[in-house]
Amino acid sequence: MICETIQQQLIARADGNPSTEVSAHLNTCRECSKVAKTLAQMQSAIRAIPVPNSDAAKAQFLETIAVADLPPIIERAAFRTRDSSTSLRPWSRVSVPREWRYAGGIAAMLLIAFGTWWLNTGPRPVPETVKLRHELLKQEVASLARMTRAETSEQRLAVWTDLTANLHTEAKHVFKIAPATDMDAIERMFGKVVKDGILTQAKQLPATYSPAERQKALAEADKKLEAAETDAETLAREAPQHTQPALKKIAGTAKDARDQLQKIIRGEA
Amino acid sequence: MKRLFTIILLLSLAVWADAQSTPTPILASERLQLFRANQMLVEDLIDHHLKLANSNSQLDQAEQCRNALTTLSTALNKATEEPSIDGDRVAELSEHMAELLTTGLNPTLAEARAKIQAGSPGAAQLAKIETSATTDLNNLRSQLLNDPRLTTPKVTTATERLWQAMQGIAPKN
Repeated sequence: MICETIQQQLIARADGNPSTEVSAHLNTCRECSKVAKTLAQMQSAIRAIPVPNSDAAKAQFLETIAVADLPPIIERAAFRTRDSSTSLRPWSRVSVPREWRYAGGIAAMLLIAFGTWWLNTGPRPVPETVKLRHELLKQEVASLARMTRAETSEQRLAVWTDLTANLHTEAKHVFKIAPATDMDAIERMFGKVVKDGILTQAKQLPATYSPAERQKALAEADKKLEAAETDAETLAREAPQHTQPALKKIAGTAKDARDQLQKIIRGEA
Repeated sequence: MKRLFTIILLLSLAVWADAQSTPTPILASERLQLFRANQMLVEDLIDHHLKLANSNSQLDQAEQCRNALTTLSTALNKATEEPSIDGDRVAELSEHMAELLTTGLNPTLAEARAKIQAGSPGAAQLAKIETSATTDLNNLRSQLLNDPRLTTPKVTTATERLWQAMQGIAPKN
């Protein structure tokens, strides 16, 4: 599908979720991805336009934008809340032809648009080419430092929990386009971190802990595993067939680990 | 007239939205490429996490952290051995090494140093870790400084940070 068609579809559905076909294209096309982002920003900018909070202000706002197409009686009476003789805006009583008001408004808008464009063009410093960096690797290095300084089982558990969440995020970002080998690699790492990391560490919590203390210590791990389980199950339904097994395995690993954590909390493991 | 007004309003918003200097989102295909480039390294670092989690003392943790640094250093060396040197990768890995030194190895060694008595077995182990880490990094430094292809500002800035962090392994009082 060519970019022009995709961009037209994006504009047509700017306030809704893009179709699967469009999403797949966005994953591989920087230009369309940029257009999608700009549209999303416009949507949120429109939502952010403040609504006047008083009747008088509403009346003024509506008068500014809609007065031309309203019948004269509504134009003057419908939103007026203050006697015109007490108005604090004497200039508003000056008779200005309607066409002039529009012309003035349009001129102001054009001036703003031109000014914004002008400020953002012209000679700019040439940015140094920045090669993309791998977020997972960066997070892993940071968690290695945390693991080096970790002194308690809880601190180690927190590191393993974050690593689990990072791998889950990685799977979430690439599952639509990754071949089975890459998804299998992510699933393998996820399994290792969950089984050898979280579960092993959970079993090493102090023996003196009560079930309530164990539950508190394992709450975050359980929460992240639940998110991974739910997400992976959902993603498996919309994933290409070849990546479904890896996602189902991730969901299964997370589910089994949660069951194990419950046993550890009850003191049965 | 109202339509014209709306169009101009939307155009202005589009210009404004486009002018916002937000970072370009990373595409799934780019993320996948990065994952492939780093898969072995990521797996190795997970193994280092496991060894760190099973360490019984602060000095063991420091030793395992030093091993993780060696793994990153090997990956960095590999980036310099490519036929066309990958300066961005050298800079990225240098920054990761500096980060691990600054927030992992150096504070751990400093804490251990404060607890260990001179002449104890711990002191000998501490000295051994400090010497190994410093020697490895000095070797890396000589290699990078002698490579004329690694003189771009990006690489220089990143490696400078690494050499600075290296001073914290065994600070001179």
